[in-house]
Amino acid sequence: MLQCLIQGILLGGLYAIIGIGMSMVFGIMGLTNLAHGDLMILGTYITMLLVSSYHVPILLAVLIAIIVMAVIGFLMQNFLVNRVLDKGAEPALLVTFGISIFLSNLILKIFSADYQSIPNSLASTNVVSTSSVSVSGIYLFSFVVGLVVIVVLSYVMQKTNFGRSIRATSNDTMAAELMGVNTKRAYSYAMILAMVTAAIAGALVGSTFTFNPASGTSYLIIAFGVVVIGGMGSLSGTLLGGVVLGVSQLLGGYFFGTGVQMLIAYIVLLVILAVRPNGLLASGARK
Amino acid sequence: MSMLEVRDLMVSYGDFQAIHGLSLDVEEGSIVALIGANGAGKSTIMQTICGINKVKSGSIHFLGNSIGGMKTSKIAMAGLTLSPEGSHCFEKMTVQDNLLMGAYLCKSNQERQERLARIYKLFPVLEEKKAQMSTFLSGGQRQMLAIGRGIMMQPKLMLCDEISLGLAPVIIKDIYAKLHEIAAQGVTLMIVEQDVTRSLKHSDYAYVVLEGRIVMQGKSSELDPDEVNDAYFGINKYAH
Repeated sequence: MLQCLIQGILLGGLYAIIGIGMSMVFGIMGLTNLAHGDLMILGTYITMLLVSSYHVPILLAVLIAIIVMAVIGFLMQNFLVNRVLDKGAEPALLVTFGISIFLSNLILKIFSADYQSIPNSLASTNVVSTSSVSVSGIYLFSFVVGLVVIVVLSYVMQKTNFGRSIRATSNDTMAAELMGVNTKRAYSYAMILAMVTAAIAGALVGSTFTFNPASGTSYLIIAFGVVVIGGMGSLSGTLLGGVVLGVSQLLGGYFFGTGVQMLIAYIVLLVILAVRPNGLLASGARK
Repeated sequence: MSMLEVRDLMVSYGDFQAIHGLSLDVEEGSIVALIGANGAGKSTIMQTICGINKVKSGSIHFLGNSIGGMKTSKIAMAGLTLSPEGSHCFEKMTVQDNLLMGAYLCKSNQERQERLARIYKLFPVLEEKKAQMSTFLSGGQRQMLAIGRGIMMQPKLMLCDEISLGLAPVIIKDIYAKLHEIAAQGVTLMIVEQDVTRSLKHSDYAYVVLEGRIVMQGKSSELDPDEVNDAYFGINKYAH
């Protein structure tokens, strides 16, 4: 059981990176990005394509995927989302839904429905191997990356002029504009940051689990779970949310069988929602 | 050439015409008051100058450049900002972060810290509460925060919309004293006030706004307060 607990915590780190982009976009522009899972999987496929077909070293491949995703995020925000953001919640939601459908089908068309994976050495390496506990290298690596991403993002948001301007934009767009902030561009930067984290998450997911074009939707649900448990707009909450979900899932699988592990995780999600609707560490209800 | 020149400004909210061909000037180094009752159009004028509302027709020139139709952030970069009605402090941010936002356009962190030190000298209560969330400040302190934030930009012209709203007289007196200090440091001010006596007392030049039009204007020291009152309410000579 200790094995499940530890692995659940580490899995939580990966889940946190999956969710953080979604949390940021919702916290900053009030947008629920239904395409988040598919965008992440797009990043996964890009990395896989570079590594498997073009034999690019994996770290370089991830870097390229990050750049590509950043550009896609900027274009998407600038030309699609920014136009509908001030028309109410529904149009933006529909736009992201449309992007989600477009992306998953595009990926299906290009790559086929076969399950794929990103070959890497960490997945088959056990970092710790005692009689009761063995820790897979990729799980530990994902957790550490998750921690680093959250710490770096927190620092940027709290201590830098750029981060301040993003927070100000999400608080009060009119006042932010009066201070000289181009708020539409601030939204684009936020989306770029979210896509960078999605690309990182995508590479880690692809290195840990197999995936196919439909995986985007499964990970969207996980991202939702993480963000909702931790509380929208809270960076540390996302880490907590990821860990709670990961531990619930693996302990649930341990006690009740792996077939129902996701069900257990989502039951925990519902219980937390019932007790604390704003999430565990919410920064306050968004207007 | 005035620092700010508004000519024949028309503004409407949908079908409702709020401002009817209004013209005014703000000279550099002066304090100009916009006086009028609730709904007269004062805030509309302020927000239009800052690019928050759309100009239906007419022109707005700041330092000789046309700013009508420009984005608010670009107008702010040109040195024109607003302390909005109701302060509009960034609620989920500390007092210090609010002030630092005022220096968003600053190139260096050091410059930002220097400006911050000057604002803390001007408003010591803000330094006391610098780590607190702005929502925990009193109304008067939030107003000071909004003004301080605007001054952090080192604007050439700052518009102050209803800074005395809901505040105790002693606080208002303090804020206006600070405004004069700010003006003495070279910031041109345009203030919106509902109180006739107060606006005439603290300004060099005044415009009285009634239903989206300027109905009276002149040097504050030369205006007859009773006539200003009539213009304000649209009675006697100003009835229509």
